[in-house]
Amino acid sequence: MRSLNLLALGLLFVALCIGNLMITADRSLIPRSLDAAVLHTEIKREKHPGLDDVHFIKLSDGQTLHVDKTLAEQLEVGMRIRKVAWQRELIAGEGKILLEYSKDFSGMLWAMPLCILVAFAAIIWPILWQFLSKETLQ
Amino acid sequence: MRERYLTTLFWIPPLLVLGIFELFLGHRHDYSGHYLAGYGATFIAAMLGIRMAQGKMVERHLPLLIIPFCLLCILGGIITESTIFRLAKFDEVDFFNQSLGAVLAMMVVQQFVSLLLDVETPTNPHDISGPIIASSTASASKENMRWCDGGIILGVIYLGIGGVLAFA
Repeated sequence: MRSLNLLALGLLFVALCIGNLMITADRSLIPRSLDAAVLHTEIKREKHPGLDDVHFIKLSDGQTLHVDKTLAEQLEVGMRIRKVAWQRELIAGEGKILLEYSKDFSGMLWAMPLCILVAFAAIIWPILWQFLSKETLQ
Repeated sequence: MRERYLTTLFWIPPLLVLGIFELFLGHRHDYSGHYLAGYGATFIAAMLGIRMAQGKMVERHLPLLIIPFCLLCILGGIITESTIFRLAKFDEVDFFNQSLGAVLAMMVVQQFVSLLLDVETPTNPHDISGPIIASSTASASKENMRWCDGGIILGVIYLGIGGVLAFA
């Protein structure tokens, strides 16, 4: 039962880490394929105004997307945006915007694998502890 | 020996993850805050539950409750994030981080429960009374209660620091 529980918790932990990476990557628009006009842009304030503001863009295809601040600042209402999934070039109106992953995603890219490593250590804690302390639990 | 094992188990994994969050995502202390608050709240609830189960029949079934309890804590996080803590939107990253804390807390709790239910196989093969729970002795039960109380205090500290990091 203990092994099954720890396996399930470990898998759940990894899934949540992947979720963090996917969401932060998605806010850069890099993974998405787009062909629509920007109908509306909106900034909603969070707990720390100016730091964790949420930037939304509403598109003509009905989607409302939460995007990174640096990207939102370059988009204007009425602008047609087009791109192919996983390409970093966003055609915006007459010009082009080079998309970049946010600081959040870059941080997550390092933090999540290390967190998984710590979770793995927590899973094998009795073995790890006995190995490091040279003492047995029994 | 048991003292050192549990002390390292209760302190090291959560603080290591906090350190990783601060090192790589230090520009967003609220991420660390959500993680630590999720850890603390889950740890408090689990330790309270284990404390209440001490000496009761349900104690030997604690391993069966680990996953449902974890999912319940994650659900609690979804409810609070989409109601009282919903400001601009339901933030998926906040939800993932607080859930990471909840899952890590339950990993630690699982190791703690395994130690509590340190079973002895009956020497008599005809004895069908099942495994003897370590906490069935009065001194072991008292010792387990002490660890549960320590866990609750630790959870309150983590939750408090998490709250400060998330909102300050």
